[in-house]
Amino acid sequence: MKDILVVKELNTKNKNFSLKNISFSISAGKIYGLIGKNGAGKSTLIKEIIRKSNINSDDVIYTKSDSGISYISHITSFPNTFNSKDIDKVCKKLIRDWDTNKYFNLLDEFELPIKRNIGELSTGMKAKLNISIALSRNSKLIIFDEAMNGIDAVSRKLILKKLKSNIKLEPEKSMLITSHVLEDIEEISDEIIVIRDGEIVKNISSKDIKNYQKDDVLEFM
Amino acid sequence: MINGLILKDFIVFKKSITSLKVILPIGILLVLNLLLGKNGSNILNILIGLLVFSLSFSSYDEDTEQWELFTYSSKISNLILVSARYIFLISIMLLSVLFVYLLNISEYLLFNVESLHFINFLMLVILLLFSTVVIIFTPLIYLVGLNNVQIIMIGIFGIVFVLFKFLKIPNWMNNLFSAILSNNILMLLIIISLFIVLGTISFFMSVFFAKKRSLNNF
Repeated sequence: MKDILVVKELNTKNKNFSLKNISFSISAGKIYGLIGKNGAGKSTLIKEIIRKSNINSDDVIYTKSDSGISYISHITSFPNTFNSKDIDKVCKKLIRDWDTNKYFNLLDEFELPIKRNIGELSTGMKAKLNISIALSRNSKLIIFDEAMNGIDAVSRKLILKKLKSNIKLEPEKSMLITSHVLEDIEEISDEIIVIRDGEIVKNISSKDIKNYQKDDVLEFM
Repeated sequence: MINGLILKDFIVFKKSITSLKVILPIGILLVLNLLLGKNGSNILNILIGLLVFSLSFSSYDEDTEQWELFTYSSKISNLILVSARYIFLISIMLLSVLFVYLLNISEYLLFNVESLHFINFLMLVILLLFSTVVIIFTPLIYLVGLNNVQIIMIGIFGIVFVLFKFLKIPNWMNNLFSAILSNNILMLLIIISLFIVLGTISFFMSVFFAKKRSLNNF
């Protein structure tokens, strides 16, 4: 299977935090879960991947760099005064591979109001909107950085189901989902990467994932 | 790509200008100016223009870390981001000046206040003033953030207005503007060239500071 992203011995040192010798790869058609406690280095690693995928670096190689990376978190990237239509208007002109039909279909599936401003949406609705934005692009790598923070169980289940079905429909893509909630990662991931203090302490492959219990993963965190 | 960024800023601007907290003071100032009739002040019109123009800076408020990550991951360069911002600011600046000009012309036609020559002179001063704001404050915002710059901007504008209202315009400035207005093409070209040079320096400084900020953020 062809790797979409290869992270090879990535070391960085910021003022307060450092990533140590991070290595893993991401293949098409799979969902990867990046799990670790708060402050373990998940967001720092994601930022490094985004930053280095834009430049020719030896330690982060994104083979589909033409399409960029689709990144979302639990906070919407667009202004609170925007509604879903405004986002479509801007993205149509801003992002080369934006798919308007797909975007409105997703909004419809998630039963999101089109004309209501982002600032007036509930946390669950915002998460669904963010996920709709991320899936409406044709980026080969989609990163969800703690995108399901603060969402109720029903919305969470619906979103996870949507992500699973999406990767089946578009096997040329892959997803990297970060969370500090093991249940989210466990339910959806084909592979789990556990990060602690800026280091990858366990990489559980799809072959082995069934042999691990929840407590085993928690032990690594 | 750049069209999307400009459109985003215009949508933010449109939403802020159509909010009641902006329409209300603009409306009050307009009514006040009409009621004052012949005693109406150009300064009030300039204030309205300034209010409209200052709203363009609200677009910086939306440059959150999430937006920066979104644009960075979408491979939108700082050069394009800053270019879009300058195009947007210059467009709003021209629209604001045009708005003030129309207000002044309406007052001239209604009440026959001031001379057309004075109105043209005033518009030129405003245009240069607003251009100076874009040239100076845009790189500063990329360097120290909008909140810090807003305080500096309010202070400077206050001082400039007081100076124009209560003090005599320096002779050299008067001569300069008179020369420009009396079809002195050469003088006009010098001024335009000077602002183009300063604008270019300001633009590249903004790109430099925006890049620096991205590096610090990621």
